[in-house]
Amino acid sequence: MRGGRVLGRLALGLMAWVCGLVYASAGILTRAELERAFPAPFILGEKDDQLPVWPIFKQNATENQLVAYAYESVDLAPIPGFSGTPIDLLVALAPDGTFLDVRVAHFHEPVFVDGLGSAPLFDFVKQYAGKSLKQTIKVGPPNGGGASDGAVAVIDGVAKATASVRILNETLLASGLTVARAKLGFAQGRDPTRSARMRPDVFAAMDWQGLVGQGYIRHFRVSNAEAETPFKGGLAEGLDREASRHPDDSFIELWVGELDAPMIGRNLLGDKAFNQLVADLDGRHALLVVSTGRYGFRADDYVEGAVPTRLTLSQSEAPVELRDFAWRSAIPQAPAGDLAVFVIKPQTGWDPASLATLALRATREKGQILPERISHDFGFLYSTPADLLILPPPEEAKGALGVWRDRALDTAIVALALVGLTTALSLQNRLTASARVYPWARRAFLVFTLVFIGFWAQAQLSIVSVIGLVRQGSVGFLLYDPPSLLLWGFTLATLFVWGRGTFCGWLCPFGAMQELVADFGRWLGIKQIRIPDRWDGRLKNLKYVALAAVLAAAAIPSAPAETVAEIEPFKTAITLEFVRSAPFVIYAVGLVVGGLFAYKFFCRYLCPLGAAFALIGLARRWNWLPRRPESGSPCQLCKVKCRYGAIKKTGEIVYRECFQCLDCLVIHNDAQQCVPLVLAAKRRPQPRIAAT
Amino acid sequence: MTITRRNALGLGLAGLSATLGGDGATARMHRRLGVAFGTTVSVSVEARDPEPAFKAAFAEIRALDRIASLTRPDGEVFRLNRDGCLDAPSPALLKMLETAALMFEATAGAFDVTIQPLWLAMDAAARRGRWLDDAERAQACARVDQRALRFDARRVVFDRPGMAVTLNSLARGLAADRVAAALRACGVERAVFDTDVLGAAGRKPDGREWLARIRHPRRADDSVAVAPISEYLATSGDYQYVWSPDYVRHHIVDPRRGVSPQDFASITVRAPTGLMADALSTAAFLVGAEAAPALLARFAADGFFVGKDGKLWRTSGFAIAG
Repeated sequence: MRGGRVLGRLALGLMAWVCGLVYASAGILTRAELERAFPAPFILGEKDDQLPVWPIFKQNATENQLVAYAYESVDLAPIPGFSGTPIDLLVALAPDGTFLDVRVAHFHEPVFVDGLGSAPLFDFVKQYAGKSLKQTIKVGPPNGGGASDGAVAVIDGVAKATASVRILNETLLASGLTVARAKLGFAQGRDPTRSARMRPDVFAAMDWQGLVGQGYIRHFRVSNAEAETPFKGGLAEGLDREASRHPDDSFIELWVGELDAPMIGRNLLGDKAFNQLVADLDGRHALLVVSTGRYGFRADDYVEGAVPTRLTLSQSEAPVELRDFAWRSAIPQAPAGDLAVFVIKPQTGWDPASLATLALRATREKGQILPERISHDFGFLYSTPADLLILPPPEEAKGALGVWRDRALDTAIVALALVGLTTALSLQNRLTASARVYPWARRAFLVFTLVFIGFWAQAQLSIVSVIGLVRQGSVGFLLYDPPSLLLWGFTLATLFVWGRGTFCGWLCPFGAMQELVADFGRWLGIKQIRIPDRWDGRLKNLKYVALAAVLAAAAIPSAPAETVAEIEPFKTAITLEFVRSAPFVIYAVGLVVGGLFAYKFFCRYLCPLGAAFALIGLARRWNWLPRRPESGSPCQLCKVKCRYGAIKKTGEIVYRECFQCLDCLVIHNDAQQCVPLVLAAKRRPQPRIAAT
Repeated sequence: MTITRRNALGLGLAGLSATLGGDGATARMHRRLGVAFGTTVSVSVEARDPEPAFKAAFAEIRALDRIASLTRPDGEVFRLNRDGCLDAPSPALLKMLETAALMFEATAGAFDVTIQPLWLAMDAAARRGRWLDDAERAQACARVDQRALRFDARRVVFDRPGMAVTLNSLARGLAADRVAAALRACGVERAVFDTDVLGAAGRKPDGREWLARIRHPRRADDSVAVAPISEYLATSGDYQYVWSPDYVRHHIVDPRRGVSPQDFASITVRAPTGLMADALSTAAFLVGAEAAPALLARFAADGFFVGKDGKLWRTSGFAIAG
């Protein structure tokens, strides 16, 4: 490509970007394709007119039942991925909020395009089938075994693609909730992710009376007179003779408590049985219900293990399913009467901290042959005492905020390191005071950069983010990667103070890898090739060509920018730790091995990101490296010693090429190395030894 | 919209799969399902390319669904209920309000589209597992009176504050009429459709009549009769939205007393238009077993009744198959 054309396209691309003509996000699947995706017995319905969703039906006996809404996530939650293009998922969401099916319709994530391959991505999304929006869906560590306990579903992450799969998870949840709210009647005041959980550590030895007295077990009573009231004036008035005869006696007395709270369970069951119960519950809640009186909550048709007919639970006007737990052990302390333990699944959104209505149905029959049944539900307001519960943190962070919470420690360590680095570099004279200690301090930091920032926190800054910026016009995707965002911010700031060197010399993991390898080579006695100045000057311009190519590819919608960005070996070396197909590994290893002979030649000659930083670094405000009048004329020591070729013959520092290694500063401050200092010392009159 | 309603009539016996019969070169039956009015709707047409007919039919269904929606801010009913008035009502809304006025008069106030405040109060109470007490009921009833709903081509307005309408017993029927017209305009000669009110055009490809299954009011998969789809068929049932499991309290409410009528488990009405079939099925349910036949006769309609006791009967003009 000719330079002029590149620039022309670049300009066009930038104009498009500035004008906001960024990638339009729209679904790509046609009706025929969706019909293929959901073949018989599924029936694809007419597309909705409010949201871009397609109802999917299934014939069930005589009715066509709505089994899911299908949609493309890009229509509802176009969250840009690392390439700047959103991941497009084909999702089928069942009316109860369960993901029926999740598939990848279209993606551009660099790490999957030709890093890990698409298989791990497809395997990753498969995990969502059967998970519900009523659960808290989280991405866990890779191979975590999908430890899910009902309320929380943990999806196994993908190694090396942490940020990409988090963006994917966010895409899926955001789009799913949009559909659920608009179409499934979700979020009518209840958010299952904000439910309180049992506090495991609250316990005081107490008997039944104590538990009831403290309100841990709630007590309700309906007298015979109260039982008659709702039927007054109706067909069933006075049918209950017993009630009229003893109006003050109990119709029913009811005790309700959460057996899975240690305060209640351990006191009533003992430690062993309680622990067993908690294990059996596996994250579900257990409600103990005991009743005495004439009327019980166990009807004649009561079935163990089933949903009770007389007793219903509701919260925020929505029913919460109670299911008999088939509890057979005696609870000796409980009053003699009906007793049952009911389990409540976390998916129901049951929040023990909120007020719920427990309704007991009393039914009267009038007539002999075809009796008319008249019912009334007695409601009791129940909530578990707050001191038994762990309440959700206020405004539990979701989305990007959740990522920030998850990665708080990584981010904090990076932040601390940046503060340390800033301090050290600000006190550069003291940092380099010892020519013996300084190189080791620098190496230590480079090891941190490589291992922690690179391999662990996966915060290698990359030209791919710049592509995303060009394509999307925003860097919102970085919000999902806090350590990277921090490093971007810091790097951009330092460009104005020290130039590109702070990042390229201290914070780039691949740079650190090259430097450490080169140091090791030097220790082995490998001699570095000194590239002649003339060639060095030409080669240095190559990186600007690389940058132009990448930017041009990013600005041209059809151009394979991700492929052009492969000039950068960061993904291979740092993100994937060299586990990748051969050509990429050969290229990356070649660069590192090559660096043994030609010092950091990728950084100096090829790196498009370095080129970008070098250009922005032109705005640097200070020439912060001290020089001497003798520098360059006649002294050439620093120039010769500079491994980056960043010092001109005149002694002037070329900050565009300076990696802030501070080697020249060490020399400058070392009376034994700095030639002008050595000469000055020689010229100075020797101290006379006092004659005796 | 969530699915809240059970279909009353089924096209089950018509035995339509998504695409059925035909030899490929000629027109075949095609079916398209959709979600509207809180239930599953369907349109089946015979055509080589059914898409234009589907598009036209669903446009009508969507339009009525939007107008009558109680929750969509772009719907006329929602805006009327929210603001207490509505300027420049659409012809479809006017048509439904006119029919409502006619029904109000014919049922002596039993059929009242301003029932919504009472209905909402009853529903909210039922969800909390209780019923309205007398004071609450009186309070809600005070906001129900169709005579306080005035409308002309320029404006619809409530005379009292806190009033609200529901067109849930009219919109599906008008949708059926509109679908029939749209399909005719597309040149479709053979069709059957279900907007929760059933209608058809022509006969089945095998020359027989289109049939509808009248659902058993207590057993969803069972039917009490099969009826040919002549004119339009609409069903009101006590099982479609239930507050008490004994079917005593359900979504059809007499505004004059604030209770659900107890004569019927379901009524299926055949009427010359979908709108009348829809309105009359609810109206007949409200007026009770004694007055229902006369009401239907007045509008050239017929009925098939299922009593609360399970008894079945029908007016002389209501044909059943087999």
